[in-house]
Amino acid sequence: MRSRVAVTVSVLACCFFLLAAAEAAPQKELNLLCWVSYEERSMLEPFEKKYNVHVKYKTFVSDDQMYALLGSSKHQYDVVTLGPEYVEKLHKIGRLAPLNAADYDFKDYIKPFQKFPLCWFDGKLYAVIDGYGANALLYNTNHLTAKDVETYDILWSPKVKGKVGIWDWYLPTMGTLSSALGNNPRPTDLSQQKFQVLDQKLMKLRPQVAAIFGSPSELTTAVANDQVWIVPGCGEWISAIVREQGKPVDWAVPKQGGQMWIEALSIPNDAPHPDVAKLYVQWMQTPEAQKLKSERKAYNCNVPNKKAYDLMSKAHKDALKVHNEEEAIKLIDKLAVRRLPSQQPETTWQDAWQKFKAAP
Amino acid sequence: MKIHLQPLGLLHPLWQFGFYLIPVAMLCTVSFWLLQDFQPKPALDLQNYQQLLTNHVYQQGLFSSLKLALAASVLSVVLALPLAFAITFAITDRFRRFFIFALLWPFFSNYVTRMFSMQLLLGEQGVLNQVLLKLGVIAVPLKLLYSEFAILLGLLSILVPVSAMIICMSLTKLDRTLLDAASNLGASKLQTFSRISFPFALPGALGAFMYSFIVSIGDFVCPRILGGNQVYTLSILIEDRMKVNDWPMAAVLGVMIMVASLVVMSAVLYGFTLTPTAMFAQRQARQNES
Amino acid sequence: MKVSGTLLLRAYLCLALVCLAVPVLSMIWLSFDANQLPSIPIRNYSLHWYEEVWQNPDIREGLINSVIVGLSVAALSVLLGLVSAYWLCRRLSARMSPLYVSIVSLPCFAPLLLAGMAMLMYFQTIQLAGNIGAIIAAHTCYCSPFALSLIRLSYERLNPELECAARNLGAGNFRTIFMIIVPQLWPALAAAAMLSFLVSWDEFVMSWFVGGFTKTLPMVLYDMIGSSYNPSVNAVGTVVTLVSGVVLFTVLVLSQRSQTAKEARE
Repeated sequence: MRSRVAVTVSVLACCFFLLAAAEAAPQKELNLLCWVSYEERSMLEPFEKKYNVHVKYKTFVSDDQMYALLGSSKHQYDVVTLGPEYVEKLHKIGRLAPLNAADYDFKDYIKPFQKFPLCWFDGKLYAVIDGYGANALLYNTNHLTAKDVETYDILWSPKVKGKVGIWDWYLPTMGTLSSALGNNPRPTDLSQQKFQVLDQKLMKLRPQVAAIFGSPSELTTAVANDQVWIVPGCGEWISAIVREQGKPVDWAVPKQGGQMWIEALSIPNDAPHPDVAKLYVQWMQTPEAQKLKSERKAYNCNVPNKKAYDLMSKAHKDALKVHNEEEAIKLIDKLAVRRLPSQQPETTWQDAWQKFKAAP
Repeated sequence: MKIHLQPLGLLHPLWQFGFYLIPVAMLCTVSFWLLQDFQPKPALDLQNYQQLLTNHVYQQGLFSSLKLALAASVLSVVLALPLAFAITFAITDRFRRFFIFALLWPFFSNYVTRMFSMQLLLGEQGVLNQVLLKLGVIAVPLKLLYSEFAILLGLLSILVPVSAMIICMSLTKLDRTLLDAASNLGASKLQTFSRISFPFALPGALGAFMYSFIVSIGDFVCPRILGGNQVYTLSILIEDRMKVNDWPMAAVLGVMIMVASLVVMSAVLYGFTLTPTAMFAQRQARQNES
Repeated sequence: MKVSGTLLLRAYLCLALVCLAVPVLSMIWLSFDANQLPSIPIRNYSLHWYEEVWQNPDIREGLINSVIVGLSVAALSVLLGLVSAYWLCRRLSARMSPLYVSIVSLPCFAPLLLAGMAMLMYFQTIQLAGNIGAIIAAHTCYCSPFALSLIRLSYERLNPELECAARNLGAGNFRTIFMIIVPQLWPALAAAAMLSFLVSWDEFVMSWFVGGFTKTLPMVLYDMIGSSYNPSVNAVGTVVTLVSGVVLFTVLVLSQRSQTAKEARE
C-alpha cells in the first residue's frame, strides 16, 4: 500500500517538474540552420536575452549539407547561413525570401561589402553578409618558414609528406588548389582540360595527406597537436584560435593568391517566424555581434563591420592580419571570391573529391 | 502444445514490424530511386546497383569495410576468449561481479568522447608515444593515429567487453562436474581444455564473432575520428552520400551492409550446428525420440 | 602447473581491464584541464568546465531528453519483453518459438547504421521525424530484445502451476500477468528496465539519424565536439560515465538477485 502511494507521488512530482521546465521556456522562437559556431552560447545568449527568444538550431559543416537540408525542408527554418555563391542557386529554386534593404544597416561596412553583387538579384537583396575569411595556406612555424609558403608547391614537397591536413569539403580545397595552378581570379571556372589538370594534381596530393577532417574543430585539434603541419584552403579562421592557445601556427596567402569565403544570412521564403528572423539578421550586423562572431570558438573570421575592429584586442587583430579597412581591402584584393563550379556540374567536382578520399 | 497467438502475443512482433521491417523495406525501395538535382525521385531503376558494380570507389569502400570488419571480429574473439575463461575459471565467485563491472563500465561510458580521448593518447605528442620515447624503446614518435591500426584499437575497445560476456554466457552452461570427472579419469589440463571447456566456449565465440562483425561493419565513428578518413569504409561513403542528399545511393550501400551481415549471420548459424555441443544435443534429441 | 595457468589468466584479465580503462580515465583526467585545446600533459587544472556545463542550456535539454527517452524505453521494453516472454514460455509450441524470437530480435542482427537510415526515411514520410517519439520508438526496437532475453531467463524457472491455479480461480490474462507473475519476477524486470535504460542512454547512432532538433545527450556531445572541442565535452562525458556506472552496478546487483532467487527455488 505504502509503495503504491510512494510511486504515485513520485510520478506526480516528475510530471510537475517536467511541466514547470516546459513552462519556463520563453515566448518567441527562432529556428536556425547554420554553420557550426553560430550555436555557441557566446553567440546566442546576448540575442536570446535581449529579445526574449529561444533559438533552436541545426548545424552543418559544409554548404552541400546546407543545400540538401534546406532543399528537403518545409516551414522549418527561419534563418539560414550560407555562402553568397549559393544565393543564385537557391533563388533559382525559389527558396529565399527577398529582404527589404532599408531594414539593414550597411553604412559601417567596408566598401567591397556595402553592395556585394552576389547578394542582389533583380535589384532585390537576398543575403546579408556577416563574415569572411581566406582559403589560402595555414602552416606550422616550427617546421616551415614564411619563405616555404610563398608558393603552394610546398604542399607536394617531401618535406611535408604525411603532414598535410585536409578539410573534408571539395569547394574550398579544390578551389584553393586551382588557385595554386594559377587559375585566379576565376579558380572554379575551368575548361574541361584545366579541370583534368586540377584532378591529377589533387590525386598527386593524396600520399602527402595525414588525414581528412570532417569538421573545423577536428582540424584545429590536429593542428594544435602537431599531427598536421600544413593545411590548404585554411587561413586565419583556424590560425587565430590556435595562436591564441600559444601554438606555433601562422597563415599566409601565397603568390598565386587564394579564395575568399564569405558568410551571409538569408531568410527562407517559408520561414515560420520571419519577424524574429529579421531581428536576428539586424543584430548580427551590430559591432558587438560582429566582434563575437570574429572570436567564435569553432573558427574565427574577419568581419565586414569596421566598427567591430575597435572592440577587438590587438592580439586578435594581429592574428587576423587585418586592423582596419585599408588592410581588409588589401587582403580581399589578393583573394578570388569563391564561386560554385560553372563549366562542369557540381557532381563532377564532388565525384573527383570522392575519388580523392577513396584513394589508398 | 497448441499455438495461441492471441493479440497480446503479437504486440512485440508488430512493434518490430511497424518500426523496423517497414522502414527497412522502404530503404530497399529507395535504392531503386534516382537522384535529380539533389532531390531523390521515385523510380524503378537499377542504375545505382550498376554504379556499385562499375565504380571502383564503391568497390573500394566495400572491400575496406569487409576487411576491417573481419579483422576486428577475429581479433575480438581471439582477445575475448582468454578473458571469458579468466572470468569463469580464474576468479572466485566473490570477486566475479566486481570484475564484470570493471570490464563493462568503460563500454558504457560515452562512445564518442572516449574515441576522442584515444585520439589524444595515440597522437604523435600523445601519452603512448611520450612513454615509449622516455623508455627509449623508440627514437622517433610512431605514426599510430589516422591508420587502420588506430581504427582497430577503437573498435576492439567496444567489441572485446561484450564478446567476453557472450562467451561467458555460453561457458556458464558448462557443468563443472564434467571437469572434475575428466581429471579423475586422467585427462591432462590441455586435454580437459580442448575437449571439454573449449567446445562449450565455441557457440559463444561464434556469437561474439557475429556481434563483432555487425557492429564493426556499421561503425562510422572510428573510421572518421581515429582513422581520419584514411580508410574509406562503407559507413563513411554512406555519410558522404547523405550529405549531398543522395538517398538512393546511400540506400544501396545500406542494402549492401545488410546483405553482408546476413551472409555472415547465416555462416555463423550454420557454424552453430557444427559445434560439438550442438551435435551432442542433436544426438541426444535423436536418442530421446527413438 | 595449475597455479601458473590461473595466474596467467588473471594477469591477462588485469591487463585487459587497464587497457580498456585508460581512455575513460584520460577523458576524466582531461576534464580538469584549464587549457581550451586539450593536450597531454596538463599544465593547469581547473573546475570551470563543470561550471560551464552546468550553465549550458543545450546540455540541460540533452540531459532531460536522454532521461525521458531512457525511462520511456525502459518501460516499453519491459512491457514488450514481459508479454513476449509470457507468450514464449506458456503459449507457443517449441517449434514456433525460435521463429518468434528471431522476428522479435531482428533489429539486433543488423548494424544500427542501417536501422537509423531506414527509420529516418520512414519517419520523414510519416511526419514524425525529429520528434522525441521517433527516438523512443527506435531505441525500443533495439532494447526490447535484450529485455526479452533477460526476462525469459527468469521466467522459464517460474512454477506454471501457480498460473494454472490463478486461472482456475477466474483470473484473466492481465490479472495473471500483473498479479502473479510480476511480483515473482521483479528482480529480472528491474534488471531488464535498467539494462534498457543503459543501452538507450549511451545509444548514439540511431538517435543521430532520427532525432532532428530533439537532441539526446550523446548527440549534444557529438555536436559540441564538432563545433569546438574543449574539456567541457570531457566534463559531460565524465558525468555520463558516472551515471552509467551507477545504473550498470544496479543491473548487476539485480541480476545477481534474480539468479539467487532462481537457485533458491530450484
